[in-house]
Amino acid sequence: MRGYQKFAVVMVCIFAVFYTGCAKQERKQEGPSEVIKPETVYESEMIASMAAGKDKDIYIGLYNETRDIVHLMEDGKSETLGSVFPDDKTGNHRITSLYLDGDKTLYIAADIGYGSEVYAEVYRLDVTSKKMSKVKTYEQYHDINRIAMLKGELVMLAKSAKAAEKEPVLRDAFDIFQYQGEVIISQDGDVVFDEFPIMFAVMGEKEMLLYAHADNKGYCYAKAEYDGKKIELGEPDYQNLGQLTAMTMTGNDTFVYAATSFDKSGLQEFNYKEYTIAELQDSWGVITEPGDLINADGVIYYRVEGGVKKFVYEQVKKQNQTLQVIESEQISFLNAPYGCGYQMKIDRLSDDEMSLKMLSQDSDYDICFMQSDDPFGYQVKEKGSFYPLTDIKEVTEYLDACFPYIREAATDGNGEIWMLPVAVSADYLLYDEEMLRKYGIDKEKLSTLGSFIDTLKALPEETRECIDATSGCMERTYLPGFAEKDGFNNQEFKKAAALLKGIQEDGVFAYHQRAGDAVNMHKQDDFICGITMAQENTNEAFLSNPYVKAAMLPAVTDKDTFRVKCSFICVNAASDNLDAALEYVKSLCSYLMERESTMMLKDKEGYLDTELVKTLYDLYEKGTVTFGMPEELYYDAWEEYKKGSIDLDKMIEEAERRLKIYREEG
Amino acid sequence: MLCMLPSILGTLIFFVVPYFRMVYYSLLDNQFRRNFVGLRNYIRVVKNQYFLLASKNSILLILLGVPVLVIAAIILSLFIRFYLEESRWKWIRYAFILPMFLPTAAVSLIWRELFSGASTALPVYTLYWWKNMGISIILLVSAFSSVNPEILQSAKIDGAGNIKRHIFITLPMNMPIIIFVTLLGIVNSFRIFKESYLFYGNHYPPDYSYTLQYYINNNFYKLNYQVLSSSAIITSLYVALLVFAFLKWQKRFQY
Amino acid sequence: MGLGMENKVSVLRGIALAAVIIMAGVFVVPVIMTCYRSAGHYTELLLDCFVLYPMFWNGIFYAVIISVLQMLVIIPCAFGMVSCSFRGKKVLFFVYVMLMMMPFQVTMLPNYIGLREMGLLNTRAGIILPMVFSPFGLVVMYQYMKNINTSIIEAARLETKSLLTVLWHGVIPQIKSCITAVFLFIFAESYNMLEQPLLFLKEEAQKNLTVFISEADKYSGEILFPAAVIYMLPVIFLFIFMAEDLEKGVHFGDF
Repeated sequence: MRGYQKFAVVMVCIFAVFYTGCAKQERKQEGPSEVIKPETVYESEMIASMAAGKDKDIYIGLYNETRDIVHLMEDGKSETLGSVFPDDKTGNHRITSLYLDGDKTLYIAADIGYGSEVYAEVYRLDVTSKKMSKVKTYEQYHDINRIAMLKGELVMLAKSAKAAEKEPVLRDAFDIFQYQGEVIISQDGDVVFDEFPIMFAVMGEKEMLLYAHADNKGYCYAKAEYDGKKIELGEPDYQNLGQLTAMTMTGNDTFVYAATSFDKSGLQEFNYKEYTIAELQDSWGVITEPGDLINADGVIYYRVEGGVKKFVYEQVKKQNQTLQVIESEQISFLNAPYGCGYQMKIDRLSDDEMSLKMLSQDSDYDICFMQSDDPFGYQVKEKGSFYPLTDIKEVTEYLDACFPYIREAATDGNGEIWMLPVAVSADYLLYDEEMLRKYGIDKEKLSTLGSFIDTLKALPEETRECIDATSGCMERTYLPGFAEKDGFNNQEFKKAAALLKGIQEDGVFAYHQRAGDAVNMHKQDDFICGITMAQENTNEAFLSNPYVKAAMLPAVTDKDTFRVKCSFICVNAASDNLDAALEYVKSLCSYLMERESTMMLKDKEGYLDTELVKTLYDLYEKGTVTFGMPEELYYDAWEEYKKGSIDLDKMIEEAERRLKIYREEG
Repeated sequence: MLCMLPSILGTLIFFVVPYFRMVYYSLLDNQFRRNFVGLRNYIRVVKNQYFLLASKNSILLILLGVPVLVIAAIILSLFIRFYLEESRWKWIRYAFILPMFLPTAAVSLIWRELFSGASTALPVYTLYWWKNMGISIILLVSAFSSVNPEILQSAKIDGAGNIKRHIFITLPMNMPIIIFVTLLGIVNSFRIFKESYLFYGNHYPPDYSYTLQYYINNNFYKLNYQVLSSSAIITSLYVALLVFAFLKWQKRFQY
Repeated sequence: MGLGMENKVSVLRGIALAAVIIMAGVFVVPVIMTCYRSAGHYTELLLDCFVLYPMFWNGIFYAVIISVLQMLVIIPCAFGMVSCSFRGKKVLFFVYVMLMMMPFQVTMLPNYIGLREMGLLNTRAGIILPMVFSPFGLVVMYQYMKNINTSIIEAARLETKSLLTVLWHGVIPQIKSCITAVFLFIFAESYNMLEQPLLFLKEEAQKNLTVFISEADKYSGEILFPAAVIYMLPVIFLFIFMAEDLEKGVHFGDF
């Protein structure tokens, strides 16, 4: 090679090596933030609807005896505009919706009658003169729960008994659409849109943003124009935001809504240009039945249980602050933590991708959300792939307010705080004392696995439906415990294995719909006992029953402890957005401390005063957080043993072999 | 000359630099804390019983699998090239290469059914032979076709028997490609991981099938890059040794 | 005596032929099983899984581009290595062979970091470029090139200074079947890429068919087989196309 050619090659090679070998990193600075708490504007248990005016005064319709409409003025004073329906002697009028047009005219929709004879009427109330006049009676419609003024006319979302006969076609398992006959009608009572509308928000003089459900294609939203006779839809965009119950525009491309959804609730804001969702208020108490949501000039009013709250939009919505969250595909029991006003972009990653992202110290994710029974969480702690939260005051305050074992789980070997626990869950034995007494079951007999199984088997057949302890659930509850602690090669496991295998075909330990529903869905009387991890605050019937209590799982060894699963977040030390992530952590801590009764906080004051909660508190107080082992270490062998292809000793040998490899290969 | 530049550059950027990066990481204690610890990781790895088990299994696969593959391929190729050339069974060689095109996932499912009761590493070995036979045969047949037929004819006239002819003429003349096929076999023995993993269905196969890739893969999920990289470098070093030894040995057959 | 010998030989030959045919049959059995199990599920695959089509074309796109680009890169490089001698040539070659041996699990992480820094993550170029510079093709091409007739090169050099002409007229005609063979290998290797698209690409539409097959149980268990059959077709076609060129045979150079 000629001299200069050699030189050129060498130079280019050196340059290439340096270019590819050097890392680049940038950091963005974000401003401080705190959790803004919404203000309560009005308290009442009987709110039917509300409307807001430009001068920030609110009208609230009540369904008390006198059907009052309360006018709250900006300065805090309130006046009652008298009962709306002075001629209504039977008390049959029920306010369903309010709408303020301009400053002075309040439109009120009410339902009259019951059952199949219900119909709707709309009245107009002049606020200054307090005079009421009827606009129209709508014989074929009822339950008008949204009124708007478009092109000078009233346009309403009502229900029609005739339309309710149509059956919509759902798109997939996440499609929870339920159609009750909603249609959009004009002031004259003509149907202007009947293709499964769900809710709309007014965008201008004649434009609205309509959220509907298209047959087979699912939830969608589209801009729509009202031309006086029909609603013309623009191009629909299909996004499953859930079953919306209220929505209001907050900008050209954004709207705030409340919805019953598969995975999120509370107040969210959707930006349909960027396809991002920001949580503005968490689900705590937000009404997700058709409730009202109003954006009155930058102040958002929304209904909660027992009143109306408001917050200033600009203060809560963190402009342009997005946090990238990664979560494992194995997350099963909880959703990502509340966003505290940040937009949380969540990515579900497979194991390979997670490892790759962490090992390569990717800077494009900020927070990692995991669960303690995911073995990956343990690796994160051991290998140090996190930003230590030890120096953050709010974090230490929050952890001090938690049970000591939770704080311990959050501290690693070097005393650094490596994660922020956001929720806990555990399997426990739930029972109804009265029912136990009725069937003559001694509670003591439920305290060890062997006698638990024998006792249940001995019950009369008609009680089977009231027991919620499936064999599959029990396996998944007990087996990990052995893997995490002493392994399988011991007497206790042999006993437990024989017991668990023995209940496979037994009808007592099959799935029973009634008991399952009782635990998950507020039904009361069909329940004796069961093994569950239902959170106590989901079942109101159980909460109000002084006999329903929680206890530790039937024990298999005499060293059994209450095993708690914890979901937590870790901050990525290499993140671009580290400051925002840390501010978020601070906000999340203050939010969690306000939440109360999360089963993590020590302070008894915050918890509900019922037997169930008290017993749960006692259990959680003495729990331990355990980090999981991969299921594949023992599950295959267990399946083979259950089928009968291998005997117990072989199963133990195989599981122990794999455990040994897992522990020692790295 | 400059014509070599793009290739060298590309290989440098995409292969050499990552390799040295890996060496660098193997000298640290932890991916996230980055303290330099020198050879401590290597010592830890070499002492680990599972690394030794994995190495043993991988080397066994090379020492047992590769020769069988190469010898069988040679025999088959000789047969195909010299006895089937004119017959109508010429196309049979293509039947052997079909396995190379079948995707891993489908193969593993079928293999599971065929070998459901196996208690040795036989399924993995047969998988390996099955997949790689085709390429070896194609290469060898193509090389054997370039042997000058006159030499073989003259040997026949001299009275040499068929088998002797081939052993002393065809094979030595094609030694380089035989070496290449062996090397290819070694390289592909490392690539058998995905099939084996799908066959056993989990990350902890029976001890006789636990090869280096399992060791490396499992440590990857444990975020244990130090162990991963040290074991990879140790592996590359003794494969290099193997290849070097092999090349030196075959110099005896140069002609 | 002569007649008896011939009979014996032809009987032996017959047995050997039968053995080879049976072996070939055994090799093809899994392929046939796949085709068999795929029957009846084609409608499910072709009509319901829209994501199949872009993935299929992606697979072919990647394979073609990588093969073509790699050819363009390695032919000059091999030629350069053959024509010039410089110190360290053997070492350079040895390095190439070593790099060829590295399993993907090991280089995955540094590759990922490198691609991320060059901004090539989640782009098609990030998948194509590393494979273009894979050392495998170069090793094979270099071996083939070693045995070309240098006198033709010299003659060409006297005529023109342009490297391109020398290559086009002098070198390439001689190694036509090598190019075919190497092209086929690289095509098959790139078509079979699994980990790179899976981990380095985010959008489903950019991934290739191998990824689809490995994730086939997301959709339904049985569409794995028709997908596998469709997967095999392009490579088989290409192979049939180029089979004749392979038969010409070229002598492999020494190591």
